[in-house]
Amino acid sequence: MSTAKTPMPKKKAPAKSAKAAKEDDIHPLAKPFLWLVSDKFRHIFIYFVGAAMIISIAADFFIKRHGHFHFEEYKGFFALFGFASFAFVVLMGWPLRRLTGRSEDYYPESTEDD
Amino acid sequence: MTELLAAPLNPAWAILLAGLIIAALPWHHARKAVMLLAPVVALFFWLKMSAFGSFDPVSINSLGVALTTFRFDGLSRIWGLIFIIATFLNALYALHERDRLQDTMSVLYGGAAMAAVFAGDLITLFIFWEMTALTSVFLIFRTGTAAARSAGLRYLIMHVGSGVLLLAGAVLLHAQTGSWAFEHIGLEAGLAGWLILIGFGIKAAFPLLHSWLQDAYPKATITGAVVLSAFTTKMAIYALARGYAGTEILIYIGVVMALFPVFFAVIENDLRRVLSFSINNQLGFMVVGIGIGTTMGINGAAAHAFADVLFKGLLFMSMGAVLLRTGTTKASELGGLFRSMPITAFFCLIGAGSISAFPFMSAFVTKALILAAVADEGHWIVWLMLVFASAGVLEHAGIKIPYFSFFAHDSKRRVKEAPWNMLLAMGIAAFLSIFIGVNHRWLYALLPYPSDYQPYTLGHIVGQMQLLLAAIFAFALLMRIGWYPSEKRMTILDVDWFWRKPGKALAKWVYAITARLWQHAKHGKTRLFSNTSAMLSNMLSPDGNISRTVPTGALAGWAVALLALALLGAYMAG
Repeated sequence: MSTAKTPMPKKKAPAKSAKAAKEDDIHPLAKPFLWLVSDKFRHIFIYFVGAAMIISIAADFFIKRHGHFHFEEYKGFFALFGFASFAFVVLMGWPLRRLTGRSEDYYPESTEDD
Repeated sequence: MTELLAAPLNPAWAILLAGLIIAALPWHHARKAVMLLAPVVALFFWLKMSAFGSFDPVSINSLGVALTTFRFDGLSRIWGLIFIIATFLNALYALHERDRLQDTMSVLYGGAAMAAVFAGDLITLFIFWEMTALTSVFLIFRTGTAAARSAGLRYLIMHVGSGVLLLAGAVLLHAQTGSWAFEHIGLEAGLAGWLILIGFGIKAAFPLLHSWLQDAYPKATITGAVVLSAFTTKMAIYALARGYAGTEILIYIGVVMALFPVFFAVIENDLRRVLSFSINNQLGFMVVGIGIGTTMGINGAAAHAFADVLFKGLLFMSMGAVLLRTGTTKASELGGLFRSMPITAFFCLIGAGSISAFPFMSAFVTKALILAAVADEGHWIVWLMLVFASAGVLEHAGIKIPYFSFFAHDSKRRVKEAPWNMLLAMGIAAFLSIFIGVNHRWLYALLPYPSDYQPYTLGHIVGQMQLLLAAIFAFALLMRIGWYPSEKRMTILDVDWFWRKPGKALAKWVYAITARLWQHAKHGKTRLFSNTSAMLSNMLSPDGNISRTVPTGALAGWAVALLALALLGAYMAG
């Protein structure tokens, strides 16, 4: 009969919670600003920007903007033009991608690198 | 010694000399010290210039050419300063990098661009114009991939070709005017004017001549792309401002340049390529200012070039840091990096805000000069197009770059923050971008012409905020409803498709045909030689044909044929 003691299994260090481990990976300077990447902020961002936009348009009713061209002086001109321009640029991305988009290895030399 | 220090000294010589010293220095730390010191010395030379003028005349008597290697005036002064600042920031950004070839080439490249800006004649300009191409290409080759080698070669062909056009135009211009001086050229100079304009246009990435930019810059090394973003295109803008101010066609070329990249940038997945499109777009604004050609237009182009070197350099630096830490700048692979690289993200946001022209940031006070110049001349359609392009700038450089790399969905990449030297370089560029936005008078005092333009009016601030906020709202809305094109790994075709696909196929075909013809010719030559020997033997031997009697008609026919051949030969030769 063997008298040798069987080694006691080492006590495992208490496992960190998944959240704590995840937080350890985060840069200390980023921690106070994690709300910026939270789902909640993402959700309310559109309302926040929308409100700011409305305030900027409302400002047009209290100040007189002097422009070189008469159309510049219409209330909310820049907001309307900015919104329409941005939306047009983005939406044109769909047909443009169909027209000019090809697989990543379209040019043979690019596959040699990957 | 005191006299030497008092004499005007070309800041470019300090940088070029440093480049040669760096090439010979095997010690990393010594090289880096020289890289950082050279722009400081150049800045000292720049600061002690108390008057405008042309200095350093060099006469090449055998060729009858007098070169002016250092012209310091309102236009070259501001470009000289921003190139000095860029050389310093580039050196700081690359401080951690142990690569003698890149150290040498980036410094020589910056020095060559500076020397081109200070050139007072077209020969000096040509020499340094070509030198920028020959040095900068190593920043692309050095990546070491097959794609980088191919892109580098295409880049080199375009840029050397640009120099050849410049030289051809200069020679023609000299034949017309008897002068090599680099002053206003314009299209009134006829063919010479057109050749030089196209030469400048290649480096300024005019539409259809632009593809080298989006092709090569994203394939450059991490520091290489930052260095490249500062010099070549801005040097070309300087050359256009010097030689083609007020050339109307530039207004329309500039508008196209400002517009088309914003569409491509939306669907491009590689964020360094997005920034290359962004360079093209910002150059468009500057080209419009030059085309307008008024003092306000030239001031606008100069101011915007100055600001662009800083904010575009900053954006390239932030993407370089991302590439260093994650190994990619593909938007589809990134996202959520704010958690690991918050300082880089912060500087990137300042770059994004600056290029988007938020109040108190640089482009707000520089782009406004160009738009005011356009409006002053009553070009309302051009003005609207530029405002449209401004919304596009916000899309790709203001939102897409920071959002898809640092925010958006979490890619779960947990990496180290960028090295301290990269952060410091980004910090200085960010500080200067805000400094210019806040102290616009400091920049305006450096412009080629006096300016009393006031960018900070309530109307301008409100109008600009409306534009930007409505555009951001459009982004949020399009993302919410899923209409924003998602980032996908793919190749987006550009005009270089014409020479990379059908052009390449045609070249292959021509090569194959030529090779076969050559084989036939070689074979034919051998056969011709043996046939000729046999024929001569048949003719001249005692039993040969020549001793036979020949019918007169046949002989006459041969004579006519030989005469016709001789006449044809004479016609072709004459």
